Amino acid sequence: MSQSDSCFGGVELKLHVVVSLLMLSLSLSGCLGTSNEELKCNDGEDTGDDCVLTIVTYDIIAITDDVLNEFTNQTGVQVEMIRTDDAGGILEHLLLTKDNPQADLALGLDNTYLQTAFQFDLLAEHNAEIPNLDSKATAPYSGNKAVPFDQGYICLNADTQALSENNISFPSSLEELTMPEWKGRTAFPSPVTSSPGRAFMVATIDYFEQQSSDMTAFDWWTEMAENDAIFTSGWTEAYETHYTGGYGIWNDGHIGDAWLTVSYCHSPGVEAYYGENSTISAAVEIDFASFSQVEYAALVNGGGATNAANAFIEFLLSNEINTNMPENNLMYSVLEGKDLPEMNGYRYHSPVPTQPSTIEMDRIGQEMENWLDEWRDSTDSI
Amino acid sequence: MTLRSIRSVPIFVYLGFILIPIYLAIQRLIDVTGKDPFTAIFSLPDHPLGSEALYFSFIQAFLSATLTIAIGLPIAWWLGRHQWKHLNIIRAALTLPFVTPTIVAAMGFLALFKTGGPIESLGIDLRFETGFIGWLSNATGIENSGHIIALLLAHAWFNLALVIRFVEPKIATIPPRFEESIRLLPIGKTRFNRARYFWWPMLRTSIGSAFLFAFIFSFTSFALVRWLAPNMWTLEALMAVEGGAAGIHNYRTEASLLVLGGATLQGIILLFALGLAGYWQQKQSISNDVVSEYFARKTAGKPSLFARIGVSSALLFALAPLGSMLLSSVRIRDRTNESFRWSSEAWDIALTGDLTYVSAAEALSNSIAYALACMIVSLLLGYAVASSIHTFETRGKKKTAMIIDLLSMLPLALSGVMVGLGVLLGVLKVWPELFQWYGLPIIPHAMLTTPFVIRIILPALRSLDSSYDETAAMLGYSQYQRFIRVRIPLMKSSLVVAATLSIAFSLGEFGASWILLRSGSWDTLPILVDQLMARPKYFQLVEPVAMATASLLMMVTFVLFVITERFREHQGGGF
Amino acid sequence: MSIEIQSLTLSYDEHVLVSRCNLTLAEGEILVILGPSGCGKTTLLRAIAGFVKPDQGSIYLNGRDLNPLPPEERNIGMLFQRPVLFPHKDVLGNILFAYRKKKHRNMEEVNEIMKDMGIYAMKNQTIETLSGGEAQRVVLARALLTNPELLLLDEPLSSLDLNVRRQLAAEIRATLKSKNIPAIHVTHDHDEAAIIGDRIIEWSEFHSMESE
Repeated sequence: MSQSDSCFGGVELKLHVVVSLLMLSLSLSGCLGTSNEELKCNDGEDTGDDCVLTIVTYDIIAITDDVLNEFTNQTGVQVEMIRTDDAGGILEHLLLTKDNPQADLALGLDNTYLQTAFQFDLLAEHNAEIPNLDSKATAPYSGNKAVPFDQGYICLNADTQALSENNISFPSSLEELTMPEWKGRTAFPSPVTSSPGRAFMVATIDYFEQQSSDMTAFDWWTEMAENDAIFTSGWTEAYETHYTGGYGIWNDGHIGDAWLTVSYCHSPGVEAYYGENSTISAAVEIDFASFSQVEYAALVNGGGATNAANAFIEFLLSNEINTNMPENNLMYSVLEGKDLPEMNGYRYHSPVPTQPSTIEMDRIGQEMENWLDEWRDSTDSI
Repeated sequence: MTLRSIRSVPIFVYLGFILIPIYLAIQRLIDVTGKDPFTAIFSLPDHPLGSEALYFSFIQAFLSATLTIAIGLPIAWWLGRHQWKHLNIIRAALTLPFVTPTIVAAMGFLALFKTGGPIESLGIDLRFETGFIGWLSNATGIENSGHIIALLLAHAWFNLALVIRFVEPKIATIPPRFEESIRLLPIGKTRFNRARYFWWPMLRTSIGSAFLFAFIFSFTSFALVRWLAPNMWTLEALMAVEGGAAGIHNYRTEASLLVLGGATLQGIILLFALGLAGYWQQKQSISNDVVSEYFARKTAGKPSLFARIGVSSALLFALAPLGSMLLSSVRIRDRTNESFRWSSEAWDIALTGDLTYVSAAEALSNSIAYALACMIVSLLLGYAVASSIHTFETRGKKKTAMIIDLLSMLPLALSGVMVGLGVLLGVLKVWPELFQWYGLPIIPHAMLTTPFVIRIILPALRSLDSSYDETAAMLGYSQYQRFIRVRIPLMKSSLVVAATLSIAFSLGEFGASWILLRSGSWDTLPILVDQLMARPKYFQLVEPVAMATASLLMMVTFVLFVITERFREHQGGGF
Repeated sequence: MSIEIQSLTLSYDEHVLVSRCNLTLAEGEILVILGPSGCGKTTLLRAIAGFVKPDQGSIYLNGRDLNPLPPEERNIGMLFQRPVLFPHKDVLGNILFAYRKKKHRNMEEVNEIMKDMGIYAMKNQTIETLSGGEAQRVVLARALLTNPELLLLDEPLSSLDLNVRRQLAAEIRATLKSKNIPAIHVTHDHDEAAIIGDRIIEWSEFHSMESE
């Protein structure tokens, strides 16, 4: 290993050694011994570009700082985060700083945003070594400009307890949500400002296109608006403040007027995981009314610290880290053959939709702006 | 001549920092939307929530400001008049709300208003709006009246400090002989008359300023609105939610249009309010005799029972939300999600930093470092600008003085979104490396605290009798010596108030969310709270850790206030 | 000759107050300028003190040209109509203000002058507790400690009551004479003028004076 001027000359090599060591020790906080001593970043000698990695990501990403600290421990690279309001904020940040990118790595763009990012030429090819990934993760995109690091299904969640108390049958279609018994009882994050909301909207478009009726998704949204559906700017408000089936009922700000909201199909599993295997929330399995979301890590076009960024991607996809995605980031791993942990009913309460939405990434990229405008017109809301 | 031009430098620097980002942002938005700012205002109703947001911003701001004065004035009166033990602690406690990060305040209030909470047990359900509140909603036809009441109370709570800081010092230092003289005149026989003919003219500019600032802060409120009144929108909230997409060519141009129109309209309204405040202050400033507080309070004596009850209630009001937040940090929902347990686990996690990139302890030292730096910058800059304005006034250039005064208040009138965009564009164009500089947050902190420093120091400068300065000159003191030995001591009270406020604002990152915030090793306490509150809270400890971090912040702020208050007055002839 | 004013022209707001007037003061002389309030007497004093720039003319103090000098370098003392005492200091603190540097303080001198002026007993009092006359005494004591070459008095006694005024006027004269300090005293009270002054000039005379 040469003592090159780039402090990463040594790190890349060392990272492989380190990851192997980790796999052996199966411990996140294991001492890394001599392998770190030669890393220039760790010594604090070289504070060149590559020793600080700036990641632009969104604020509700749950990647624990344990994980980030671990990366810093292993490589000596300091991590700085630029947190935007939502996954859409990542795209907006990249667009605004296009001429002079501030971030090196974009973490959290999903397959409803990726195409737009490509259209504006915001991302650059990575150089990381990628292990074998799950086919669902590579289905939307498998090129070199973005790497999946986690995935999940967006779908409706409903409060089983509230429904049974009110004698309402568990929803099996979208149309029944426009009925009087659901008046004011549904909460949706806006597709304009929220990426789960956006993904769900795409699913509704597909759902209605698959029906034989004349009703379009936007007709349905209009009816939902007329049925007093609650529209929020973000997932957090819908899930915590309005939805009665989740942890939100324990929050002081809880209003609890919605029995149904948009979240992940595995959200009930997360609830159970932290709740000793009990939850009243259940994923609503309706064909085409769910969306397979893949989240990506991508190098920013024109950004620096490419070595650090590549190292981070490899770190994120390392067996140790990525297998623990369900615990670290509340999402599925993208590695082949991985599943949610069984502990506390995490897996049990997380159904996998048999027929998610089939709309392709290309089409999403082309039509999203129009869809958003139509959605706004239909619901007259945020 | 050279001294005068040197004097102008701080003004140019300060105004440059404000005006250049605005210019850049507006240019970009005009470019992207193809419309000018004033036409953009008329596009506001096109947004589904545009008109509603504008209307609501206005109404709730006006009502909030009125409520603030209604609650704050009696408190300021009682506090200003009498001799109180531990006055510095009382003042510190009453000012604390103002510097509380809004998300923390929101959490505190929600804890108070929730089902099963103290307010609801009195029959007032502000969250679900049953009972009395439900009746009120039906009777008045105002939906969500409970939420609106909660919001108004929260705003009044927040802005209480304005009344205390603007009005109380005035009351406390008016020479007793003024009031004594008027009591002996026929016109001053009744309390009401004295209030009308003496106190009101004396205090109306301070009250007016407090009202206007409460209006401005309530108008631009967005975190409290989002949390306490989730179905309602202010203009700022709307722009904050959508503003990330502003300024981008060929992408969601409606967001750019919203920000251009909304920020311009808001700017006009707020500038008007600020201008009015400045005008009143200038017009009304008389070179008042001022006496030491010690002397004035001694004359009025100890507080009556009524006063004690009033001030105690105010203290309860000020501290209750913060207290409930402290409680939340030790009360943890257990894993079966069915009950709560008491534990200091959250504090342990906060202090060691297990859930965050930096620990709360590190974040605290970062916060304090930034706060001190901010204080130095804003005191220097603020004094320099205030002094220049005053010099223009005394040389007869009143109009120039007023314009500069107004412009210096600009940061308070601007939409955070607009400024954030402008700063981003400006820095990117001129000096991108600036984003990497850890000292960057000092700039927005200083920009937002300097207007307050100016607002506090300028009246103090105006009320300084010039004969003090002249006498010292005749005694042979040079300009520099007069500054140090006469001017500063006479202005000590205002300088301490200004410094305190500056530190506290910086600690709470008042309004500074508009700068592109980087998180990393230089995270401050409010950033930590924000990060924690933004993530999904399936894990039962997330919220308590946020509350522990927030409590740490508030405790440090409180201690800082109490310490600096000690410097404000000394017994026996001091201010 | 202590003061010499040559060809002084003073105006205020386009209004000419003094036009090309000359004035001299002998050593240790106390000059009184008598005239109604608001006619420009104060402005004249302020010009001598250095707060107002004359349109034309020069002022010499013991041979020094005062024109280029700022007030703090003129070594002139001044008493204003209202006693100017610093509220953040007590009586002694105010008097000690006469010394710019701590090391120059001469407590013997200070105590002596306080006893002479009859204010020694009050030295630790706060300034709000002083009467008008007492306050002016403190101001005078402070001014005298700086050993001024000239003392300007701008109606310092006019807000005091008659008896106090007379008494204080006599005291001021006695003190100035004992220290041989020349002074220009401005007032509208004839009796006061008679008590305190060596020479009295009516302002109307002064105003239209072309030469002495």
